[in-house]
Amino acid sequence: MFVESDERQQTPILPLEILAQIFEYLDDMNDLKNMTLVCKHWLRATQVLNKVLKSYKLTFRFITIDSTKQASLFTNSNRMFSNIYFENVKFSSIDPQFWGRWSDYITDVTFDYKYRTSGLPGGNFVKFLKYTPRIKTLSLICSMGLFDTYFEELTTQDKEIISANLKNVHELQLYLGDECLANLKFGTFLEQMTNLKNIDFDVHSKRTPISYQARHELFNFLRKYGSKIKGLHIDDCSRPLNQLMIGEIFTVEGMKLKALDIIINAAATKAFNDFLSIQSDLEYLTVSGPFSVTSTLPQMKKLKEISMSNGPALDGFKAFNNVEKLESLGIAGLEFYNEDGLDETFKMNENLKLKELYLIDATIDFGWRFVKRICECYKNIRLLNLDGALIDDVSLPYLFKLKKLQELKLSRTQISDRGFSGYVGRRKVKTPNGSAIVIERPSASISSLTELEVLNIDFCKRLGSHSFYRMKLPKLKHFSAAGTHINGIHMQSLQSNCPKIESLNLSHCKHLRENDILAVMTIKGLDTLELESCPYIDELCMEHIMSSPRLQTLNISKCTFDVKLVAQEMFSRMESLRRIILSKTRLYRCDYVES
Amino acid sequence: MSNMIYLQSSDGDIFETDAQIAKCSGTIRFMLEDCYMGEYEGVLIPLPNVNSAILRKVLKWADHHKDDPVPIEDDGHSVKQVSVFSSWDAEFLEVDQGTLFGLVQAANYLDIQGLLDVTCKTVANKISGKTADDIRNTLTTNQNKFQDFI
Repeated sequence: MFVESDERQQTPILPLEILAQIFEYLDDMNDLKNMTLVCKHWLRATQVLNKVLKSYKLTFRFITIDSTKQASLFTNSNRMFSNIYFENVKFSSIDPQFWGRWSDYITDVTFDYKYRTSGLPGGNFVKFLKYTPRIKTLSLICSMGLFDTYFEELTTQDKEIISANLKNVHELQLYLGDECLANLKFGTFLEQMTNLKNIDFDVHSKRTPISYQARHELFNFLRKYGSKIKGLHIDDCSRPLNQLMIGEIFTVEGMKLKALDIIINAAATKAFNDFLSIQSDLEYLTVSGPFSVTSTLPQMKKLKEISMSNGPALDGFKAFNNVEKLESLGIAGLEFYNEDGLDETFKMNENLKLKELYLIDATIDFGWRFVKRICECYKNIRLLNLDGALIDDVSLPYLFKLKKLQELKLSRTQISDRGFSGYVGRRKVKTPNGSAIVIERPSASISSLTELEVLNIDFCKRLGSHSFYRMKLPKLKHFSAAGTHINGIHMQSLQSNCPKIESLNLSHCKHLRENDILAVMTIKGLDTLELESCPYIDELCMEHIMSSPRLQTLNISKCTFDVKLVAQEMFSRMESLRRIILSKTRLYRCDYVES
Repeated sequence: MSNMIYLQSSDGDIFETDAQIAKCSGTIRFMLEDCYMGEYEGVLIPLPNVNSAILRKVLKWADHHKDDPVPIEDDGHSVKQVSVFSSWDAEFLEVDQGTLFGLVQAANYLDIQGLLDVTCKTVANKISGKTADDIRNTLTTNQNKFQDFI
């Protein structure tokens, strides 16, 4: 621990965590900056510190960047933020002193104008990059065109500084929305990013199909930066890509993707299969449409997440046997078949890495043998989504043996009390002397999942009081029981059996009345409550809700009275309330109460 | 009831101390209560990471602070105790750099939160307002050694 051999050398090298602890006491930004210059070891210590203290993302949303305002906002803050996110921000003036203080720590910058309203962005936001000499990641969400225009407008001096800073950008995220695509042009600022390593490329056309012009630009870009593009997502009005686009995308040379999200149709299957078979670096794959799983998966050794929908019929899970790194598997709207009889479906290997499994609306018959096999093979699953799956009470107890499960969604399934809260299996056994004795074997119930934090049983109409009384989940935080028969009389046992509950969804519970709401408000830790489409929620119920000291988010969409009339009173009486969600709008605290 | 125990420093010197005082160290408390099951009269605990000079100072600090209130633990989260920087502490920590850093390390190893707080604060005070060069110079008198250091 001490530096050896030299007697005079008494200063021991302090471990990183202790140095970090010492640095915690430094309040002055400049001091901390000096510490980074002492030696590598100390620099590392400040980086540890950054993780503990300052790995915050700072989001500016719908506000004006003005030099006087920010300085007063953060004068006493000793936090530094590495990730700055501007969402629909109006730039009026940028304070050099304020931003200069952090300049060494800013590594991620995002300009997001996805939901642009008039008057934005107001000023030249590119100038902000003058204060980010260490920028690594630049994200332009629906703002590439603006960025380009402003970049060209810069003075020569500013342009030089910003170009130098742009050279440090390693990762560029481009998200092109409808506005960008209407007048697509890839600006010269791209040329400045000479050290670019990764490009994440998102094309989202929501309203109009991608035009010929835009397509031309897109493919010129793809061809030019092909080898740097790591993420590709093309959405053309949620339709399958047309033949021409398929032909062009899949023939871009040198494109080695890490993430791909695409919609195809049967006509493109062959080209897509050929393309996939050379994508050996792929880690995240989302495909809607048919492709050959058996011929492409063996090539993708690094695959971590795969989700497929509307695809081909699948011969059980055995196709995923050789994808060793798979952590998340999602299947929606696929057909399972088993020509060679049931046993073939079971030929899946154990995969202990698999953490997430989504089987949405799959036409899989969840017989108990199949569920048992899944639970044996994938026993480390943390998240299981069986939305609308054909699972019954007999199979359910096997599911409850997944001890590590943290999140479970069983919405729209036909499960009932018997499976959900367990039953006692009885069997008669004959003893040698001829008399029969009954052996009782209680099955597993939902309460066996002691790690569960999120549970969704939306629209499980067959669940009754028995389930709600018996459910005992000490770690449950988010409970969604929309459209079930849950009501006020269950709340007391819910409170005592699931003491950690934070959010509760009781939407579409058409029977809820005033006394039920009164009971709901007895749950102490509640900060989110959803009561969408509950016809009996009226002003009287709101009185009870207003007595809650902790509620932050309230969803009362589609209720029978005009919420906007009481919103003012609600925000002033409930100090914790931040937002009210209505079917089309959201009411925020800042609009009603002066802070 | 006096419960004397013995602590052995890295130099081999043995210090006799009251168990109650030594227990301000989380490391020693754990050893006494878990390894010796509470019957620790006269046991010898070797502390290979602390030398005699430092251990003597640590014990002096612990003796002075033996009547300090124990930090209250509130549902698992230990409340960050606001350590009062007494004049005694300030005087106690007027030592050369090697000793100060040694104390930081010893406090960390022995898990003495109070001592760790005051020593870290003292170091922070010493380095604040200095340039990187200043710090480098005060840290190391021997420039060659510094090369190894980085």
